[in-house]
Amino acid sequence: MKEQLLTWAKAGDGACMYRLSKIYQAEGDDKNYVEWLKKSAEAKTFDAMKEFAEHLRKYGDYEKALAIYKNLAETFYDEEAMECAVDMCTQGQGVAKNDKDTLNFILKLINSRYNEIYQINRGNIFARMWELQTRRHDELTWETVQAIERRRIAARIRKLLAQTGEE
Amino acid sequence: MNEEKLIQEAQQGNVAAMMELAKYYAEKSSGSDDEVGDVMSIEDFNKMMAGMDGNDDDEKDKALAYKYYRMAAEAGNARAMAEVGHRLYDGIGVEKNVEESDVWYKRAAEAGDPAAMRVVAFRSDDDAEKFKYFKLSAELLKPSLNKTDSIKQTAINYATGKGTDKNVAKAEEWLAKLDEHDASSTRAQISNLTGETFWLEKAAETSVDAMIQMAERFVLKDDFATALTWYKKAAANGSTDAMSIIGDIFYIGENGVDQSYETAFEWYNRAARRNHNMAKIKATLMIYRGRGVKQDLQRAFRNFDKLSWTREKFFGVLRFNSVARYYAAKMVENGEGCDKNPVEAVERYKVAGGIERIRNNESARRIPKAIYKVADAYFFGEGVKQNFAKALTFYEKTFTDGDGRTPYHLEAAKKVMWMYELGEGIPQSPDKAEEWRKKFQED
Repeated sequence: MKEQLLTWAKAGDGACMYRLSKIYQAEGDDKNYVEWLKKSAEAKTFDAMKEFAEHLRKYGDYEKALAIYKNLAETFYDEEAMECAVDMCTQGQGVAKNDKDTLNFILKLINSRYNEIYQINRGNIFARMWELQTRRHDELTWETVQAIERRRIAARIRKLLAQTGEE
Repeated sequence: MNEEKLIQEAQQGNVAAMMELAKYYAEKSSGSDDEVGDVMSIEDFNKMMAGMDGNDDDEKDKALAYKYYRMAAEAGNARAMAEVGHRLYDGIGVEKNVEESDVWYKRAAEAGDPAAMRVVAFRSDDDAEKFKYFKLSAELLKPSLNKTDSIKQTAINYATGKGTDKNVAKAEEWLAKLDEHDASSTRAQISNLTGETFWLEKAAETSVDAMIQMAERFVLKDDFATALTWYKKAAANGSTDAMSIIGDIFYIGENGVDQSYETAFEWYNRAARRNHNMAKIKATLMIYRGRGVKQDLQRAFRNFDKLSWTREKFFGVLRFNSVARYYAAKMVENGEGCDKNPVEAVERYKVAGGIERIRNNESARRIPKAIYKVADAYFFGEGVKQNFAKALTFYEKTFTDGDGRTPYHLEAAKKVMWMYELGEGIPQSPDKAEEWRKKFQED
């Protein structure tokens, strides 16, 4: 399998690069693990991007890690990436502590989504739904759970901005 | 019934005969003389469906029904006038004509037909006329003919002063004719229309629904501390929705409320104990993530596994719970809280992705992430026999079912492009590779 993965990875498939990196990691070959993880992340493989950002952060390459998290947040509205970006801000990793630009960047992304979870059965939900290009999710567990996470991160950001008087 | 005799009498101006004939032809053409709850055989069903072909006999009967209603209406029968209005409005046995329909409904209302009064009230643009007919129909309609709407509207008109002088006492008198649920929802509606909070506050004295609406008013003002007090009242009155929402407020740490995962978990737990499925999902996610409680993957897996059989409504259709199904599959794939089992993981992803149906041919709603996992399993031969053609099908499906914001969406498109480009496991096709390159670039 490893040989096959190597062939496919060399032929440019990001998912194969990621799987190959995991094999190297399991074998304890950190050099090849990181090399293929990086290539896979550069090929925009979702799982690899997250793991590579985590790796970069662990080894202190904060700016690159933060850039990847911001990219994941912007491209996929990935809540975990948003949270990591906020965490890095609060710790002053890659940016000044509680950097308002980064916090506002994530807050803006969150606000561009449909985050309503309370007015579930009231008002002209359908009109708002189309306006915000999303679905009504009082009936949709998946979307509700995501909206709750986004609201939680947004509330956290607002409190941080309020502390720094920058909201 | 002697049809010929009735026709003769009708032609001689006998209104009762006209009405009897009209009803006879109307029933004959609609064939709907069954009561709700009657057992309907497959033969009945087939007959009914055959009758939907709009066959000539039906159309003739509808036209005859219209003819005799019209005769009776012109002879001054109020019920017949309303029937003419209805048939003109819907184009039954006569060409549709909304304007003429309005004229006949109005004549029927003026002649004292309460059902027509309600129709005129709803369709009129004149507030005074609306009020007059809502009130009259509320007084005259039999309870079995759904007079609730007329009563509600009369109360609303008195409360808002539309079409009549504003009179809160009279509005209250009319509200007293409604059951508690209708009265509360009408008070809430009045409150929305007038901006007067006391209507809703009064409803909230007894109605849990109104308590939640009170809370929502403060949510809109971003005043979650006050909203919380109303949600707590609703929760104390047994609302599991309110309990779950209180959990959300603490989990999120909304404006004016200190975030507390522990308190959130307590409230989710309260709702979950009363069988609130959404609260069970939220509490289990907290157990999975170790927020507010100690992380316990075994318990989280057991819960997701059980919750996989609960349903969520997806655009009105009940489906197996998407979150529970996806997380349970993911945990089996990674061996989190259970034994790692690639075969079982693929089976679970197939259901979570809506690819395979279970139990009584039911399915979960499609989660593109789960479909991608199935595609990967076929591509790499993990948990299933390697099958590039199937992998291709599911990569394509991941792309078509998701959008540019879905993780794996672009990866799926890239993978399809790559497979066609290299002919990896499938016949090489530069054209199709190019087609997918364009899709990928457009997204």
